[in-house]
Order: sequence, then C-alpha cells, then structure tokens
Amino acid sequence: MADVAALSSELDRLYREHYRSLVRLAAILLDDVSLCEEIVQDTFVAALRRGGGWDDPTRSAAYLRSAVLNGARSHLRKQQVRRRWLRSATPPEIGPGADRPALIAAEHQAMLEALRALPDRQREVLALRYYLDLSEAEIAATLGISPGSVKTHAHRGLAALASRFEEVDR
Amino acid sequence: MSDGPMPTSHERADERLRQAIEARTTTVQPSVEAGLDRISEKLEATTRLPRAAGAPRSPRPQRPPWLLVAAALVLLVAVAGGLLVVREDDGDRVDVIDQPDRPATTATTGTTAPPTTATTEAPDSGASTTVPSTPGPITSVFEIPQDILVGAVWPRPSSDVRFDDPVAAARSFARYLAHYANPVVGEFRPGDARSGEVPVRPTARGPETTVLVRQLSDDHWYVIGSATEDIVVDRPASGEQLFDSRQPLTGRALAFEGTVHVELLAYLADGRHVSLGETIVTGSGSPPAGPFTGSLDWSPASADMEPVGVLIFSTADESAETGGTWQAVAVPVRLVPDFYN
Repeated sequence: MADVAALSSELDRLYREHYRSLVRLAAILLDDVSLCEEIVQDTFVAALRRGGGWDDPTRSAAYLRSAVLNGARSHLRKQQVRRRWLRSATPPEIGPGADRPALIAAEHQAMLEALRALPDRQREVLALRYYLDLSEAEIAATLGISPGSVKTHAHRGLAALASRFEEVDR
Repeated sequence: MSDGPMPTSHERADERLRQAIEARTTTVQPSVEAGLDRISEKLEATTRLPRAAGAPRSPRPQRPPWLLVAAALVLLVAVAGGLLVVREDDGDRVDVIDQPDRPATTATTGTTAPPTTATTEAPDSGASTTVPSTPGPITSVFEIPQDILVGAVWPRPSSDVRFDDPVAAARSFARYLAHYANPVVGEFRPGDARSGEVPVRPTARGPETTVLVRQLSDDHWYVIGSATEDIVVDRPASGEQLFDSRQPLTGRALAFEGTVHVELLAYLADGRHVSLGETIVTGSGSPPAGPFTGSLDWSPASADMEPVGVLIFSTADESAETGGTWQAVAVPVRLVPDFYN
C-alpha cells in the first residue's frame, strides 16, 4: 500500500527517522492526535513538492520541525478563535466531558494546557527543549531566532509555568 | 529578584513539565506505515490536478486537492474546538502579548518632541486623509505628540522601541503585530519626503501586503497601517472612533473559504498590546472578492489602556507552508470605552 518510492531516498530516511517524533512534538501543542498526524503528513507532502535539498540531516530535521510547529501554531490559533466564537454562540454551561480519555493524569493535563496557553515562541521553545532535548543552538536554528532569544523565551515560559503552579500549590 | 524560592519553583515547574511531556508523548503511537499511505494518497491527489498543457506550476499548492484535506481538518478542528469548549473557561482572560525582541535599530526613550497638528496618510487605501485631530482626553493622559499618538500603529509611542529604518519598522510590524512567520520584506518605496511603503509577503511568491510607513515628528519611522488587494475594509475607516460595544465591520475580501480573522488590539501604557476582542468575517472564497459584514464585541482591558488601537484583518496561510499570516490589513482606530466618557 505504502508507496515508499514516492519519497526521495533522503526524505524516506527522514520520514522513517522523524515521523513519530514529529507527531509527538505536535501532540504536545495540540490535543487532537489525528490532526497532528495530518500536519506532519502535510509537511512531508510540502517537502516533496519542494524537491531536493535534503542532504544535510541537521538542516533537514530543523526544517521539518519548524514546518510542523508552524502547522501546529496555525491550527492552535484557529482553535482559539473557533473556541471563542463557539462560546459566544452557544450556552457556556457545559460540564466536563465524561468520555475524555483519562490516559494523562490531571496534573499533567493541567501542565500541558498551561504550556499551550503560553505565547507561541515560549511554548515552542519549551516543547523542543523538553521533548527533543535540543540545545539552544538547535532550537534557534529550528525557529529561526537567536540563541539569546531562545534562552529568554525558555526562561519566561518556565517562569510563567512556575508562577501558575506556585499559586495552585498554595 | 532575590535568590529565594524562585529556583525551587522553577525546578519544580521544570520537573513537572518534563513529566507531563513524557506522559503525553508516550501515549501517542502513530503508525508510520499508515502515515505513509496517507502521504501517498495526498500526493496522488496532487498529481491528478487538472493543469493546462504547458502551464507553469503554481507557486502555491493548488486548491482542489487541499479542499478535501481542509474539509477534514475543519471537521477535526470543530471537534477539537468542541472538546475545548468543555474545558477551563478562559474566555474573559486578557492575553498580554510579549514585547517584540528589541530591534537592532536605535532605541530611545521618553519622547518629548512638541505636539504638532498632524495629517497622516490613511492606511487602508493609500489615499491621503486627515486624521481627526481633536485629542479629547488623550493629551492629558499621555505627553506624546499627536501625530505619533494617533497615527502610529507600530511601534507604539509609549514603548521604548524606535526605528531609524522604514524597512526595519515594516519587518517588525509584520513579525510581531501581524504574525507573519517569516516575512519576506521588500525594498522601501518612497512616497513623499517622509513617507512611503514597504511590500511584505508571507513567502517570496506570496501575495503582497503593502505596509505604509511614515517618519513622524520625532524623526523615527512608524507603521501607520497596511493594505492588500484581497481585503478592503470599508468600516471602520482609518481613525474612526470605536465605542465600547458592538462595532460593525464591512468590506470586501477574497480568502480561502472566504474567512478573514479580525482582532482588535490596544496598548497598555508600557507599550505591550492586548487583545480586546476578535471574530471572523466571511467574504468570498473565489474571485472576485465578495462583501463581508460582521460585528465585533469588545470591551476595554483596563484603565491603563491607551485610547488608540488597531484592527487587524488577516488571513492565515492555509497551505501550512509558513504557518503564519498570509495577508493583513491594519486599520488604526480610536477607542472610546465608558471610562473615557
């Protein structure tokens, strides 16, 4: 079924090496895993359209991560608008979903939601740092910002999370 | 900041975040082969695109194959949005947006240039109109020249960011206020001695958003608005007063599925901006541009807010090529919440 030949050999290698981690990276930022898969698949489709230039593994991986983060960011923004739109158009009193999978502990879920509420750059820097353990230089290359900005965003993001959970702990 | 409990709370947040991300990612087990099948399907759909013989390949993905994917995504987003609605209600929270990283151009503080009676070019059409110069309570609150206070969309005069270069001002506007992912910024096109425009695109071949820039009375460059061919805003007009209630929105737009995102931003006294309200309006999804009507409910963020703001009409990059804004129109407005009356 899978047409491996459709991918160039370099992209095929990148796909096999990074597909899962890219979906998981998106899943840190978005709730819907199938949507995350779509974003990553679309990234590879776009990469194929783009053609060659996949010989440098470091740059290629950074490009793919960047594209996935862009896709996730775009959908997150639309979700936020849609959420507010729906809220204004429908009665707000809706109880918690009984069928919500309880795979993630409440505290973890709360932390993920707090992470997702951070400004774009802070959220993405922290996701890259804590999931992929990328260095500041690698994060900077992925996001197209300076290493100093990476440090600033990481510090601000973590400070915001610490502040939020400090209040909860009291 | 003291060396007290902060490191402990940081360390705790650090550990919690690491655990939360690990817990989340271990539950996500996508199938590599199924993903490859989907990619093949999408590629196949792409290659079936009808294209006239010898026609050049479009720089952007063609619409038809994406419509199915987009429709699926819209459904997924709607489902996800529905799930999110049942979660924590943060609708009333005001998001304070970060200051941009300090630009590499000269930054000065404490603008003290004398007030001037200003005329400013209207940003929505490029036509020259006079910005209302009746200051009302504005000058009593801020000792800032009127032309800057009323005309500057970016940077705000109350921030300490200034630009000596019009292109740098346009780039910063595109990146931090209009949310382009990686804006492609063209050369400055001079108009008169102190104004001009800078083309900004989401990609090298993307549509142009014309960023209107002007050197105001402190001799620094400011963005005073932006315009595009595909989004034309009739109401509110540049410099129009928006009262604290429902604001009508009218104009014409051509956008993917006709959808245009509208957000009203205002500024706090320290230059940071806040979102006072947002909505979507629907124009046309296929040429020519179609009319849109809508309304925006907004309320003031705080008494610390400047009585001027900007409405951003934007479309997103639906190809996910950049993940950011595709086109953006910025309309400066004056805000008249109850506490200014």
